[in-house]
Amino acid sequence: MDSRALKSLAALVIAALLAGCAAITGYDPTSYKTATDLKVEALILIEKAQDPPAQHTAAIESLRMKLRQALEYEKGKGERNRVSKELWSTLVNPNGGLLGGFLKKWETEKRSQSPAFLEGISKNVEDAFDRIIEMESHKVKD
Amino acid sequence: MLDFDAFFKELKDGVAEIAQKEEVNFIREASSDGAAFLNAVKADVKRWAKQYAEGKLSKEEFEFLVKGKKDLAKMDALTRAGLAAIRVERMRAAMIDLIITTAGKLI
Repeated sequence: MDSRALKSLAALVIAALLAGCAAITGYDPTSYKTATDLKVEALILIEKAQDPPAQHTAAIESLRMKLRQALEYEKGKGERNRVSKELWSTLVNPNGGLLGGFLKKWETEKRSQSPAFLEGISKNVEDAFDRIIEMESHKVKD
Repeated sequence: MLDFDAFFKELKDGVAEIAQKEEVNFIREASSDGAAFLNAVKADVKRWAKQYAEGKLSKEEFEFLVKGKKDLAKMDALTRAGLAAIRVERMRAAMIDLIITTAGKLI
């Protein structure tokens, strides 16, 4: 093997080693779109919590299903997507203080929520979605 | 004779340059993001405490909102960890480009 071939081989081996050890998944346009779409849908639904939940049962169930689908999609990408998966899990946790917890609270109490509370939860949920969107948008694009 | 010395020297200089650039950016962004997050939490909790005192928020509502901030703090830490991993990923991609470019120049 001549020197040129050896150099090329060495460079390829190093490049292949580096390519094989990615620490985190790359940018996924589906994940980005899902997060931005659900952010808007969630914030609109929170505004509607000035009403009792019975008037919005279908919208609540629809959002809950989409949130679960989003979480499952992120889980499916494996361990290298751990951060995004954990971000979604925190957002949708029914025992937490963000969107999952809010939906559970609204349904369990079976009554409209106060304006001051809706303002606060809306800001928290918006910030939470922004973390997920920020994370995805910074990922390396192919 | 193989000119690996030139190859690795050029590679080493390129890697140092990438690392320095990424590190400076990361430290600057991480510090300013952390301070902004804490200031935002402080301002919100202060406002909610006032609304609770005025009777605009119930005790349960106030506690729920503060629990949300705790969840957001967890998300903030996760995002920082993720952004650090993305930096590593960017460096890795830049290094692959550097290796290919450097090798190409020497061939």
